[in-house]
This record gives sequence, C-alpha cells and structure tokens, in this order.
Amino acid sequence: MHAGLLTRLIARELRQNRQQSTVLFLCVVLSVVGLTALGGFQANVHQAMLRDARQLHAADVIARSSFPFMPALEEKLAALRARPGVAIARVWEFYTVVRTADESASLLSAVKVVEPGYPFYGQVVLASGKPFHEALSPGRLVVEQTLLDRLGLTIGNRLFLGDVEMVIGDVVVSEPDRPVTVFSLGPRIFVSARDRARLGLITQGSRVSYMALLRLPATLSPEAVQNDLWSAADPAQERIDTFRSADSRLKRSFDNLLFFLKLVGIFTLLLAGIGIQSVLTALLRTRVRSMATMKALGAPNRFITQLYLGLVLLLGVLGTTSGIAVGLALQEGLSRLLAGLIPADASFRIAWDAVGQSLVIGLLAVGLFAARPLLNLRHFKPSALFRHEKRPRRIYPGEWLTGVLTLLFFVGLVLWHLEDLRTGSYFIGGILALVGIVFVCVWLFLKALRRLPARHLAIRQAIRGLFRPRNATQPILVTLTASLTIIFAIFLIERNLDATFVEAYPQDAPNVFFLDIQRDQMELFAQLVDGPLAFYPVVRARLMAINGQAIDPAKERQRKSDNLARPFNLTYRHHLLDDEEIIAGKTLFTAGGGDFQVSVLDRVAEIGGIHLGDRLRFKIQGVPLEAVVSSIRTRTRESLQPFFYFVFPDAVLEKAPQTIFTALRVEPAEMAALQNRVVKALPNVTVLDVSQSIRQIAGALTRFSEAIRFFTLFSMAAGILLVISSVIATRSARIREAVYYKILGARGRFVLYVFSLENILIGGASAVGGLLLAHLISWVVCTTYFDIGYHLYPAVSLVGLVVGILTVVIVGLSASGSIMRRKPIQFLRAHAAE
Amino acid sequence: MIESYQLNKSYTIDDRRIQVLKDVSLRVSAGEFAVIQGSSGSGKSTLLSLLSGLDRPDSGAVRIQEQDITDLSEDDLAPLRNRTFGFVFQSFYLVPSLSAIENVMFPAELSGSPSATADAEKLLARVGLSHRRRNMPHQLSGGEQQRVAICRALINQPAIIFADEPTGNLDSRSGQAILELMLEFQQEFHTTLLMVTHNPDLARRADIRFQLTDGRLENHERH
Repeated sequence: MHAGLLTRLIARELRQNRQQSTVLFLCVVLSVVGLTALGGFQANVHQAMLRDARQLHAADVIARSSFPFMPALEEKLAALRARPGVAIARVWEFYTVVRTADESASLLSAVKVVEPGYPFYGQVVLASGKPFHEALSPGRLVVEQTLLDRLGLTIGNRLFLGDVEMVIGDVVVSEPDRPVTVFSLGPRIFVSARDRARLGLITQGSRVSYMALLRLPATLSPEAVQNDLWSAADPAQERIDTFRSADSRLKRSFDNLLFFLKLVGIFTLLLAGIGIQSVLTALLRTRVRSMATMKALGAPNRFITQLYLGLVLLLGVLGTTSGIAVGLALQEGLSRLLAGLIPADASFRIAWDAVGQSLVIGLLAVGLFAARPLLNLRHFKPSALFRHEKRPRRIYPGEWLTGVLTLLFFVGLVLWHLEDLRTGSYFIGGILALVGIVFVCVWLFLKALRRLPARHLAIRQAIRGLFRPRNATQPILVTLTASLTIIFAIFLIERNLDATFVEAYPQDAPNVFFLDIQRDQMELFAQLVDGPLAFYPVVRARLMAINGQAIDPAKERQRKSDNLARPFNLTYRHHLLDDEEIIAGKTLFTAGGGDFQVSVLDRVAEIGGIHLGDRLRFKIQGVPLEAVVSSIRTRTRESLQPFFYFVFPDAVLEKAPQTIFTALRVEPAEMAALQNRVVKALPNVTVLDVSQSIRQIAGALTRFSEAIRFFTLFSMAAGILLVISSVIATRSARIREAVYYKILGARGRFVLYVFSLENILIGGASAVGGLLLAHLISWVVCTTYFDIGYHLYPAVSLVGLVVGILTVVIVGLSASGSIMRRKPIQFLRAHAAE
Repeated sequence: MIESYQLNKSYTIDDRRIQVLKDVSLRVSAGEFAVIQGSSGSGKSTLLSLLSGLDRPDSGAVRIQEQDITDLSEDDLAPLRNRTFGFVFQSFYLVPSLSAIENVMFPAELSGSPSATADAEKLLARVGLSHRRRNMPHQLSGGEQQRVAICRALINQPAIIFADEPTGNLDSRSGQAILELMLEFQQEFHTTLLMVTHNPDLARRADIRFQLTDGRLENHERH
C-alpha cells in the first residue's frame, strides 16, 4: 500500500544505520558461507564421482573378495565370459616390499596385477604417452614417480618384486579407479597378469584383494548381471557391485571428512543467528523514538513491521546471496586445503542444488532469528515519547512460537546434514550443554563483577561500562566464550593426538609389522631377525551373527566406529598379553566349557553389544564356527602392541588356514637392511613400516584440523561481530561517557584506558573461560574417547589466551575509535535541544 | 470535542507504583484553544497522551468527537492519529532518517494523499523553510525543527492538535514565534488546540485553562 514510502524509508534506514546494517549483513553472510562452501563442495565431488562412476570402478560390474572366489562364483563368471560382448579382466591388489637390484634399498608398495582389458573405462595415463598395455609387457613394471624418487631409480632400472627381477618400463601419471592417494601405504606398481604366477606372491593366506571387472554389452543390464552373480556369491566374503551401486570407500571417507566440517558450519550458523538477533535488537532499540513518532503520526503496526521486515529481508537476501558467492569462492580454497583427500580431477562448478539449499537455509535463519525482535515491534507504544517507564519483561506467545520454531529448524538442520539421529542428538546435546554451561558461568561472573568493590577509578568505570543500558555484554560473553572453547578444544585435542601418536612414539613400541608369514617360514624368519620374537597366528574370518541375529553388512557400513561386517583377524592362545586384563568372566576360557569358546575385547563388545555367554557365529573361508563368549578383555594401556578382538582356544583354530604375524622394534638405521633380508628370503611376507604410516596419518590429521580450524574462524568472526554491534548499540552512551570524562578534566588517555580495560575484561573473561572449558572438553575427549593421556600445554594455552584477549581489545577499540575522537562541544551542541 | 471521564493512570518506575492522574474529567469544545498547566511531574504530559490515545488509562474514558477511544486497538487508533490528530512535541521528534519535507509529507503519504508534496511545500513556504526543505533534522536549528513539526502536524488538516510544551526547548524569541504560528494556524483552520505549557502569557490567551496539581485537576477557567 505504501510501497514507495516504505522503499524510501528502508533506504534511509540503511543509510542512517550503515554500521549496524553492515554488521547485520555480515552476520547473514557468515550464517551461510560455511554450509554453502561445504554443501557445494560435497555436491561437486559427489557429482564428479557419479559422473565418473564407470571410470572410478573401471567396469560395469565388479566382483570382489578378500579370498579367491568360491567355485560357484567362478562358474558364473565363466558362463558370463562366454556370452557375446562380455569381457572380464581379473585384478589382484596387495602390498609387498620391493627391493632395488643392488639390494641397497627397499620400499613397501601397492601392487596391482592386471589382466589385459583393464581398465574397461577411463585410462591409465603414462608419462611416455604410450598405451598402458603396450608398456605393461611381461617382465616390465609401470610404477609411480614417488617409487623412483624414494628408491633413487630411473626408467630402465631393475627392481626385485618377490624373487623376480623386473624392469621399470614406464611411470604412471593417473589411474581411473585410484583417484586418492593420501592414505596409501606405498606407491603403485602395475604388473602384467602374465607375470603373476612366477612372482609367487599370491598364495594361500596372502593379504590380497581379488577382483573381477566386467564390461557388458549395451543389451545386458549391469543390475541383471549383478543379481545373477549374487545368486552364486557367498555374501559372507564376496561382494558384487555395479558401477552405480558400488559403495565407494572414497565417497565414505569423503563424507566422514565433511561430517566434522558440517558440525562446525552448523555451529557458525547458530552463532551468526544469535548475531542477527542481537544486532537487530540493538538496531531497533535505537529506533524506538522514530517508531513511536511514526505511530503517533498514524502509522499502523503493520506499517512499522513492514518497514523493518523489508529492511531485514533486503539485508537477508543481500547477505545470503553474498554468503553463497563467498561460499562458492571458498570451494576452490577447500579443494586446496583438502588436496589429496578428494579426487584430483573433480571439477568445480556451481552446484545449483546446494546453492538453492543455502538460499533457503540463509533466509530461514534470517527469518527465524529476526522474528523475535520484529514481533516485539508490535509492543512498542507511542507513549514512549513522553516517558521512560520500565515495563516488566513479558514473553509473548509469538516469542515462544519463534523459539520453538528456531529450535526445530536447528534440530532439523543438524539431522539433515548429519543424517544420523544418534550423532545429531549428541551434537545438539553437546551444543546446548556448552551454551548452557557458558551462560551460567557468564551470569555468575557478571554478578560477581557487579559487586566487586573496585577502588581504582578507571577499573570502576570500566566495570560500570559493562552494565550500561543496551550493552549486550552477556550475549557477547556467551558467544565469544563458546566459540573460543571450540577453537581451543580442537587445537588442544589435535596437539594431544599428535603428541601421543607422532611426537612421543614410545621408545619400546614396535615400529615394523611383518604380516602373512607362513607356519613353515617361522624358523627362517626367526633366524633373519635374530632377536626375541612373539608370533601371533592369524585366521581371517567374518562375524556372521550374534546370538542368532545376523550381522547386516549394509547397516554396519553406516557405522562411524568399527564395522562388524569387515573381515576380522582371529587368533588363538591360552594366556593374557602384558597389556590385557579380564573385565568380565574369571579366566580367558572357562574350564569345562568346551572348545568352542571365545574371549572378546571390550572395544568390539561395546560396538556389537556383546555380553558374557553370548553366542557368536563366524565363517572362516566358508566354514561356519560358533563359539560362546567366555570372557571380555580390556587393554590396560593404549600402545602400539598388537591386539586381537577375538581370541580362541588352540584346539579350535589350530588347523584353520592361517598366517603368522609379528611386530618388532627396529632401529631406523637397521630398518632397510632388515626389510631387504626378510623380503629377499620370504617374498610373500608383507612388511609394514608403522612409523612412516604414522607420519602420513599425522599429515592428513594436520590438514584435516586445519580445515576445521578454518571453518571455526567463521564462528569466531560471528563473536567479533557481536562485539562490534554492541559498541554500535551503545555508541551514544559511550560518547556521553567520553564527553563527560573530558568535560570533567580527564585526558583522552584516560578514556582510552577505560575503554581498553572494558574490552580486556570481555576478552579476558571469554578467553579464560573458553580455555578452561576447552581443557575440560579436550581432557574428556582424550581420556575417554581416544583413551590417551592428557597434556596441558601451558605455553600454547598462554599464547591462545593472549591472542584471544588481543583480538577482542583491538576489535573493540577500533569500533570505539570515532567515539573517542568526538569533541565534547559537538556532542553538547547536538544534545542541547534535549 | 474532547471529553474525559474519571481518568486514572499510574506507572511503575523502579518497582514503585506512582499514581500520576487521579479522577481527571474535562471537556474541550471544537475549535477551542485549551492549555494544561501544572508543575513538573503533575501529570500534564500523561494527561495529553491519554487524551490523544497515545496511552491507555487504568480506568476512566476518553471521547473524541463523540467516539469512545479508550478501548480502541492500536490499529484502530492509527487512522484517528493520522487524520484527526496532529502532534507537536517538546523535543520535536522529527524522524531522523527523513528530510524536512519528507517529515512533513509523512502523515499525508500514510493517508494516501495525492497532493502530499505540494501541500508540504506550501506549508514549509508558510513557515519560511522552503530553502531548508531538503535538509535533514540534525542540520536544522531547534526553532526550524519545531516549525517543520508544526507543518507535519497540520498537513492532514486535523481537527485537533495536541502540543506538549512546544516551546520548552527553544529560546524565548523562537518560542514566541512558534506560539504565534500555532495560534495563527489554529484560527485559520478552526482547529481544536490542546497545549501543555508553563507559559502564563499564553495561558491567558487560551479559551480554557486546566490546572493540574499532583495528578488532580484542581480547577479550570474559561475566558
């Protein structure tokens, strides 16, 4: 009705409240930037994965197993191969240590033995530009550049793979079904399937991934072939996927990575939402007179509401679209930050779905968080022009409704993004608990501060300043403390993990594992090592059911913790290890309880809800085995000593197909020589240099926590915006104070001192509170979740404290700069009329 | 016509209940110039806010042009304030984000008047502020701001103007000029003018004078 008038008034309000409008706008930007960046990033990577699904799996249908395929599946595959247009390529993947021809160096490598035809889709790109299968002739290897670099070799040099000496023929630049290499334990080596038999590395008990890749003619549906193969496959150990259904490990690990980042994104949204509410409340408080005047001149409530709703919507739309634009730009930064953790060839385009979602989330957040101050507009009376009556604070039904809707929005957002009710509930509970604790602490702190008898004039004035009308001291302290808590906690947990697993790698802990030793190789192995050794027999098996309840592989794959459907390493012995003790049951096995007993480690017992007396059914290479839980063990200290989830009596597993595993502590200088000795004599044995793997994991952990810290900075920015908005909201009171100080003879230095002290109080309280809570949270997480010792890091904590305080002081003083520069006469002239 | 019956009003300040008006009844006829006098805190401004519908009494009733406005909602009061009432405040209360002419136009624009701009320009010319019409309130002197406020109060040609100490923040020369202007307009437009003032000279020129003491209407005099 009054569109022109409203538009003009909105424009004037924006111009007059430039600073607050900017802060409100930035809060809206912050509320969507994180989730947009992450949502778009995820959508792009998923899209790239889906688009290139055939390439990512190199086939239409994939059959895989950790064991040689069972005869029934082999028969089906043979029948399929006979059909016109069907092509099958076998692939074997395993780790082994390769040696240079002069045996001066060795390296754990990821070997992929492939039959002609691989890959059916996509290309293995070679540095020479030659076709892959031309370069991969018998006796020749195609290797990754890092292998050449680390072993100091060039193309044409020779390399021992098992007992067989082979020539390095080319360098692989990229392979379609291995887009991510960050967690790889070693560089890639391609071997022709025609060399497989003479290598002798793929034997019974070897840790090999067996695959059959199928290319189908257009007339055959991948899903039909999948169903056909499933009818013959053993679901306990064999898996059939199409390129569409394949539960990509890459996708899973990528989603797990984004999971934590999204938690931080939602936390930022919440803080920015609080920012929106508090900035808008502060802005509307400064407009009480204008609103009352307009009402006195006949403007109905609807008009006032439309005016400020229009203002909020304009800033909301501008902020949301800008936030989306910044978020899209950040995707590029994210791809750099997470390089190696995502497919390198994932192209980055605008994901309109994610943009649409962010737009809806941003506008909803603005609407919900702005609703309360906007609804309160109805309750401003024009009589405010005459007096300053303090009415008792009432919470109107609309406010309750807004509160409930905001909570539902937040809960819905968490559940939608986290897709897991339990984790979502923990997150919401954790956030609410954190905010609740911080709120109570801040309330107590302010109450104590108000009563503090400060004699020093500047300190007294600074404390009084915290309680000046319109000062949002409590919301500022709550927001800053909560965001600093998260930032400090992430940092402290990362430092403690780093200290436990990387820096303070125990002196006596094993640093090299030898896997897949055959029973008849134990004596020779002991001679090669020439030192005390503990051999652990390992039987590969799958857990099929607990008390008759079948393990559901699909459900297990959803689990964030260990997956009960994966193959387990069982062992047998009659004694506890040094770092084990029994927490349920009296002895490892019950006397007279029969042979079919199993002792379970508490970690897997918790995951599977396994109790004493439960019946566990396993399948060992097709043979079923059922055993009763006779005891539950725990580990008395977190160490890198080998441990087993399931321990059986000798009689049960002694005759099962098995390999032997051992772990050793070897001086770094002797590592290469020992590896060479063992691999030369026992080429089937896999050597795993743990210290090197840990360095790789630490690198990934650092990058991961960098990404989290980067997103947590947005939360911090939301807290900083609150400080600025509070300074703006109290601008006239601050100017009045500064003018009065000056009129009464105080120098500019005194005003600066008082304002600095005020900001130091805010920064100090938030930083100290945040640090203490962060230590508490980190201690709980480290000691209960990660089960590691806790270090306080006093020096690092002190640096964090100082940085936190300085940030608040600098921001607070910068926002107050124009206030302090204001000349008394300007203020007095402007206010002479009042 | 303005009528009030047994008006009572109390406020809570710092948890203390203060009775501001006690059983105030009065009557002002159409076209009259009435003043309310009393010492500070006697309830003058409160009475004005109740009579103009800016606030609600605890008990009693207010009738404007035969209509009981006591229980009207804010939205029902809005058109009354816009078309029937005009306000002039001691602190001017111009909307700070609007220029002088926009402030004057504001009530006319709310009521959808097609001649808002022309009417505002005419009024500003009458008070000698044509050259300042694009200025923002903070760029005007106190006297100029109050002249703009008077134009704003008059633009919809209201039947009643409520004025709360309109010269209280002005020097005596500017104050006198403002009062003359208001009386001139009152006579020209035959408007009812109800004014809170401390000015005894002005009170003498009023048709009717109400004296408030501690919230009670002590007496009233007709001239």
